[in-house]
Amino acid sequence: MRQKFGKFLTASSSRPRLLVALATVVALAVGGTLAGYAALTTSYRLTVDGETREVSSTGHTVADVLDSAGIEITDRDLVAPDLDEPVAEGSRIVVRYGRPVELTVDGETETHWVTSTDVASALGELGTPFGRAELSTTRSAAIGREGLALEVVTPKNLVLSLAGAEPVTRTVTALTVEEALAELGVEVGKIDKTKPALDATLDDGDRVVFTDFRIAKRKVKGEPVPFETVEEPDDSMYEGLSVTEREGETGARNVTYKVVFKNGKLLRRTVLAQKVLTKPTNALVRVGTASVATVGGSGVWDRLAECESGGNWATNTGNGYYGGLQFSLSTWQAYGGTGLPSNHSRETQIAIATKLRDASGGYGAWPHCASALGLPR
Amino acid sequence: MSRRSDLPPAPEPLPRPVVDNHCHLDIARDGEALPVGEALAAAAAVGVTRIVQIGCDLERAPWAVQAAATYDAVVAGVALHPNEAPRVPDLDAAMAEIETLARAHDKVRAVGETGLDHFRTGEEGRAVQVESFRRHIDLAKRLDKTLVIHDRDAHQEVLRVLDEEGAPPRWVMHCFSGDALFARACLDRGAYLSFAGTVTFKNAEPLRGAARMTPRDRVLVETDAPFLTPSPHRGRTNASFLVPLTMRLLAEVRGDDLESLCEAVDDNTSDAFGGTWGG
Repeated sequence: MRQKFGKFLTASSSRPRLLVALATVVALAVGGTLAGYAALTTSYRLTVDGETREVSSTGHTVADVLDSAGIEITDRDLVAPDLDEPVAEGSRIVVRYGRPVELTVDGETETHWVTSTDVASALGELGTPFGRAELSTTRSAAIGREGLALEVVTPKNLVLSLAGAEPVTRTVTALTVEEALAELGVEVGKIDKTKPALDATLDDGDRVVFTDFRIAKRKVKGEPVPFETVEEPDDSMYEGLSVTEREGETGARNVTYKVVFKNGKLLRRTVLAQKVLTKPTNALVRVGTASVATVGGSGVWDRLAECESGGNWATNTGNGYYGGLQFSLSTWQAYGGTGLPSNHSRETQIAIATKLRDASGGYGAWPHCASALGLPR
Repeated sequence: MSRRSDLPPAPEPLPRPVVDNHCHLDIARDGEALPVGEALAAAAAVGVTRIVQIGCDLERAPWAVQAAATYDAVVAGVALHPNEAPRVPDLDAAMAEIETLARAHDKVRAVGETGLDHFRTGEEGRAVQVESFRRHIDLAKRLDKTLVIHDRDAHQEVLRVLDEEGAPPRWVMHCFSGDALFARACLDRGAYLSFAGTVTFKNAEPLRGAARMTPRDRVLVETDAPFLTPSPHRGRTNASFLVPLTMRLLAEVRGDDLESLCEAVDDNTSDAFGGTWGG
């Protein structure tokens, strides 16, 4: 809409219509002359902005008559017949003064000169009747020589999502989001949100989202307070096993919530105030952490060490093999070991051994004992 | 723990409680084992209210004892598995440890699983296997525990050793895998026959024949979880809460009313394991 109007403003010639109006006036004037009195009288009928009076002049042209009447013409004014046309007794001369119309369409202002004396005609003269638009004055309002400021709001098709409902299309004659919602009877509260913002100017085809927020207080009496389960590791018990030492007990409280609804649905709840009636008692559970050595676990290493070294993790007999799993120094170092294996803990020796086993895909590094223990090689 | 979603869905609960008389709560087949508390709760929810936990090597047997000591619903069996026996460096020392564990708590009700496995242990290991079996039979008798026997592809050999040693008063043929004829031979020696998920397998008609002829006061049910998952979940991880699938099939092939068979199995298990237990 604005786009079209903009084109109009730049192309801005209302000239064709003005010519039609002039021609009509001239025809009337000529008709009057032919039907009238003898040609030598010097009395004329002059109509200025619709007011008609008799004027006398000794001149021979329209310009002469207007001079005699003390009327100054600029090129914004309309005169018929043309200024240099000859006049005769009884000729009719029509003058309409140009006047500025400061036209604001959907917030954009431009000044136009018109010769019409009322709003409806002026808009007609400008070629933009704005048939379904809202005007800041009545269409019949007069336009004086001083001109008029006129605001126009055009109707727009809007796609509206209101409070979470499915989007609907409505035609709304409004300049801003706020006006559009007001026109649709939507009350926008302080905490409600719109997109675009309330003061945003609308264009045809815009999408408007209105989100309804509501805040309320809710009191709940005797609300259960859940207990927590505290797990206490117990390395004297195996993994997977647990013992409930103390059952948990639910507590109770009176609580006041601040509740926020978004489009009628609960969005969040925050505690404003609470009074604990009875505290919950946490459940206490002992959870076993002792690892069960399974095949692939450390049990197998103990058995392997038993076979390799009699289970002596610190052994160093001077034969070039060290520790519980009888590492050679080169193998030990190849898998990241430092110093002598026999100086390291059982756990460290197992850690290096695990790397070796995983790298070789089995217990082949301990061929004799792996075979004796039935371990995969 | 991370693999809970891999477990099959829970079957319809049983009309009366039964016992899963053979499972390995500590063994994870895929990922981590379910924590025992959860496994027991899931089982109880479908009517499997008691469990016999079997720990059958030197690492797992102490776990089984502690599980039995910790949970009302659980009793334990301890042993060296027939496939484990040839692997221990010192059978005497290992047996001494099993005996200590068997005496450690009155909720250790069974010595087992012991027996013979010709499927997984080759010729070279069989002498040790037989020796281990003999010592477990002796231990069960001395401590008045229930003997739980593992028999894989070794039916006649198991009976021969048992006859030579003399069967203890209460013994269970775990995951019974024979036909009606072998069932008869076991029953004649005072056995309880425990049926696992295998009885639901398509090709297990001889086994179903055995289930059909087993007297009602000798039938037991088990999972051997996490192994031997019953149809239609064969191949997935087994757990005690799947016992109802096996129970329903047993009732069907035997032409028994499910509720009364459950009652019989529950009573039989208490008898087989030296009296009832649980909360």
